[in-house]
Amino acid sequence: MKRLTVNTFALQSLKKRKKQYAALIAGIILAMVFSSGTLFLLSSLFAGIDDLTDQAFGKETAVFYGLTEETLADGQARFHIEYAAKGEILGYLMTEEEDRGVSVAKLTPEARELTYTVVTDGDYPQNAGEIAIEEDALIRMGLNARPGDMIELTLQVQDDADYLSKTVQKSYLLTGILKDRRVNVENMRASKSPFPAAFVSETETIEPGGKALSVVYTVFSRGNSPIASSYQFYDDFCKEHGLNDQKTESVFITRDSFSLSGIGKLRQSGVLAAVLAAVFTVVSCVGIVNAFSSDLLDRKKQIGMLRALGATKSQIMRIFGREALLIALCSAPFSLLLSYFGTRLAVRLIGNGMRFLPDYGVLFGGVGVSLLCVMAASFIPLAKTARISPMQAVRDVDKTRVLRRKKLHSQKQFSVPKLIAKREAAFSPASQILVCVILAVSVSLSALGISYIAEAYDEASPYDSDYRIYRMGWEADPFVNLDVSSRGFGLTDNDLQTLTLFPYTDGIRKEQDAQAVWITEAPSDYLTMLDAGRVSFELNGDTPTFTGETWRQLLTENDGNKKDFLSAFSYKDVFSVRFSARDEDAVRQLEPFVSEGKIDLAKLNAGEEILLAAPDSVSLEARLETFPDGMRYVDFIADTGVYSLMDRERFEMFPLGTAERSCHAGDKVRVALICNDLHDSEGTPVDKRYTDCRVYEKEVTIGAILSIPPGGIWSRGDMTGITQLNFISTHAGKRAFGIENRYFQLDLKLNTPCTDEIDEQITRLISPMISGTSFNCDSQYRDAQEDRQMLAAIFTGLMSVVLLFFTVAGSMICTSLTADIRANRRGLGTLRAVGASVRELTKTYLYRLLLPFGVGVPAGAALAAAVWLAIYKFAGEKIPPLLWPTALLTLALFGVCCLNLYVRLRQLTKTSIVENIREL
Amino acid sequence: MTILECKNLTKEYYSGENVIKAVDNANLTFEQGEFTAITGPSGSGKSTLLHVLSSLENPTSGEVIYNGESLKKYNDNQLSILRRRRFGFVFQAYNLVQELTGMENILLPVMLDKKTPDEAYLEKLVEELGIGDRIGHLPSAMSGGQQQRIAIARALANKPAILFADEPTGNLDGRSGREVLALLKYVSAEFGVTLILVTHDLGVAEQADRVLTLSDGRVVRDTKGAAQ
Repeated sequence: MKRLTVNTFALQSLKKRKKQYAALIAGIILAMVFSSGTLFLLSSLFAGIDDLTDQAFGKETAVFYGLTEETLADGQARFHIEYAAKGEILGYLMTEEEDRGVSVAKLTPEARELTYTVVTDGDYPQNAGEIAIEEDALIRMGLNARPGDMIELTLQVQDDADYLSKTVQKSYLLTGILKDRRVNVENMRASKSPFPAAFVSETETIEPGGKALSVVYTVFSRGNSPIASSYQFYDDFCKEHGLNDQKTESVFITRDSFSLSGIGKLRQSGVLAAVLAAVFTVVSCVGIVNAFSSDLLDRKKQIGMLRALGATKSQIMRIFGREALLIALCSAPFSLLLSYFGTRLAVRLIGNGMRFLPDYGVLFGGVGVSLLCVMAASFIPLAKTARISPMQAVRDVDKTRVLRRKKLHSQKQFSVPKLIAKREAAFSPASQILVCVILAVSVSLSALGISYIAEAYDEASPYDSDYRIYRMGWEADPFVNLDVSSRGFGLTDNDLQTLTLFPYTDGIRKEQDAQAVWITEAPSDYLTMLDAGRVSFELNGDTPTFTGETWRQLLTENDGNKKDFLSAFSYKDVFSVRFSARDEDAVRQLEPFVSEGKIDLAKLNAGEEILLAAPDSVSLEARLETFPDGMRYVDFIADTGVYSLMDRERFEMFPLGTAERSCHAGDKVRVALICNDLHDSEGTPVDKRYTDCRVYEKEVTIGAILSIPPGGIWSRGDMTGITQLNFISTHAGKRAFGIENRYFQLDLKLNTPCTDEIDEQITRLISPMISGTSFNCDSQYRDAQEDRQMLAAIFTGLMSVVLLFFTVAGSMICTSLTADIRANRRGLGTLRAVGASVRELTKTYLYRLLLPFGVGVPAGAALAAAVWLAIYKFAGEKIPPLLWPTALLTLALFGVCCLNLYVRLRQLTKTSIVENIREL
Repeated sequence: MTILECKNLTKEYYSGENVIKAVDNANLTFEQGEFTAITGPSGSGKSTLLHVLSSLENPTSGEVIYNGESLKKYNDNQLSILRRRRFGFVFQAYNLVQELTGMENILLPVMLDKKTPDEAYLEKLVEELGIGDRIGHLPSAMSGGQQQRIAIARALANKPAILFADEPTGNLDGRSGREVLALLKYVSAEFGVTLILVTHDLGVAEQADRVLTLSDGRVVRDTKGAAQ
């Protein structure tokens, strides 16, 4: 005779209850996939995003040129620099046709690894005479070459500090095309550094007479705190060693905005992963506990019988615990496979070059933890069930206890379905509350998350145009940068013509700017304070201390540029103003920001009126910064409430006062546009400061005052106002001043949806216009692709969490109702026997279904509204709510629960009343 | 006056490939106000006959006629309404709804019928059954005898025409059983209800107006006037 052991009992039980266990195993697989699988998915997505960021920017945090061994050694010894790898810049490569080129370097294997150079086509050079070039650099140099082609280039040889005057003609075998890095780094942080974009093998030597410029790629420390920015260490290192001056350039790579955001910091620190893991585990455990509880409720009588036959508590625990282990072990391989292939599919769907970088530790570790969770979760209902006495199991005394505690009273008139549903809810308040809480969290998480991501999708296309070409950086001091006609200052009419003739161009919106001053005889505090931000000075022997009392005098004394300007033009006082000229339709779009007066295009075009964008008030502060070498600088901060300007901790601050806007619509103002468009015989601008400046002066009326909203962004990035005053007019209005200059911003709109091919064509068209300048080109197509990728990853993560919550809520509702129907067959049979129709039975369960939805969904909506209001109140962020996906999810969940109910009740009513009544 | 009859009533069950005739071609009539006991050895089909007569189960063939109307014409919903209005049931295992108190269980058929309870009638019923002090409790807090009394009150709450009782004293001790039986007889006589009762206890059967004896699904004896 076969011996009956705990294992054989558990196996027999599993075999006999295949159907019930199939549902339980499916639930557990889902819970495991959602907990371990979601973590695996998130870890893979984050790894993929990190990989993309590394490909775009490299793994380094800063790049130094000409850094001495001693300085590097000091940085490493003091743990500022965690890791460094070296390369050498051999020169500057150009073609004969184009004077724009890129630096060429050779890297050590360590530097190649750190810079994460990715070869998209061909191979990295191995021998002398071979070269690999970044894709954008090829376009920049006007080269249409593929790997295997010989290319002829002109090399300006490096001589450490600069380039040798002679050039060398070089012939290289192009072995590979590299993924862009230079353009990404420079777009992010405009720099005149020789960031290399062409690479030769290590065996390459520098041309005779030259001296290679060292390039050191470094990873800066984050200190003891994993979330601290490495910028602090970089900044300290640079200041201590006097870097960033004329002799040594450096580039600090911020990598990407995501990594600097709150989420990014949390992710870096592992807090996000830990929190997500904890949430997934807890929620999954709740689902598993519920699944096991329902199963054990169903088997309460069997346990009671076993106890009556003499089984001890520990034997009951062992029998059912072994079943739980077998179930968990059966579920593990399925959840492993589902997690792996699900994640693989998700990464493929996100696409855009994201690689599937699985972390098997997370996958197997997650499944291992899930197994433990299943065991732990099964233990809770098991321990509870094993505690009950045999008679308690047979006679349902729990209900009597609850009844006594709740002091329920007999109803004289009642709806049978409603009363039974209400009573059931009263008998199991904890599980009802739990379901309501999970449902509420699901609803609020879904409503908020989807609304925020939808808004982010909208914001992923910040401009009205498909391409925006714009000058990066703005010289706030109009008394310094007067060279408005230089190539660096703007794009020409020829550039505009080239773009207009592009077959896919639908229209181009253009914007010009000019350095301008507001001439006044009676300077107001408002103008003085707004203009003070240009000035900084060192505290020295003449001015040993700063208390703030003499700020007006110090401001005047130390604004050397303005003093020179005033003496050159005999004005009593002037204040810097930004002047921009726009297309008429762009000016019309400013209508919503008018706070005084009105926009009259005819008067603007005639040069009679002008628009003034000005903050309502300004508060001025002086800040004193003391450097490690003892030098102390004072500068002025004009705060207009538009931006929170800085981290104040490092400075000593002196509040100097506040002034309200002193100008109004209808005021007449004298405005002068100033420029120096003189060039020498070779076309190089001649900087003669003010002596040869042309001044285009005009008296105009302020037609309208435009307010600057918090954040300073007007109409999707069409205008940014920070602390400066902004005069705005039309192009015709600007011409009325008599000045013609270049475009600082062109917005190009395509007449067809953009494709990879069009994007490549337009990149080739625009690249030569902006190469070697501080201009940048934003492709909405590329930006949207990148943003979509990031948002898809975030959305996938969010939806995993939301679905986990919805699934757990649904599983709790369905399993508890299913278990109740199974366990209560006799009660339902009795109801049918005494005259309850199937419709009434269905209504009973529908009421029970409506209870968690009726409480959980409004509670979730209220929670979401509260969080939304809190975010609006404290962060000022007003996100348009997008609720239909959540409503759809909730309806879908309700539908699934109804379907489950229908199937279970149909099963029940298919059997005869007598069979139900006799079920014991 | 005939209130219930069955013609050629057969109920078959399948046990693997074997067909078991639980009720075999029964032709019976039941008069209004009559107390009929159905008896026979275990497995003779007495409970099945009761279940088919009371529409709790469908017959394999033949028909049940209530008040001159064949129940074959009734759909599931109409049968539910018939059960709640015209039939009352008392089961061996009491079969009370565990979530409802004694009083709520009694009111169940009335409430399912969406009627206003006849309070005087119900009070009398509760008093006659002697359960006034237990009706606020849940079934799990009652003894078997008390539960069965509640079940009888529930069965009579809607003033049914026929009361079907399946071994109503089977789970009770001798004294409680006798009390319950006496109550059944009394209330059916008091309220003019036809009582059809299944029992294997000859002592119980002796008290009926008529005794039907079943063997292998067939009515082998139909004795009237046993009680007399």
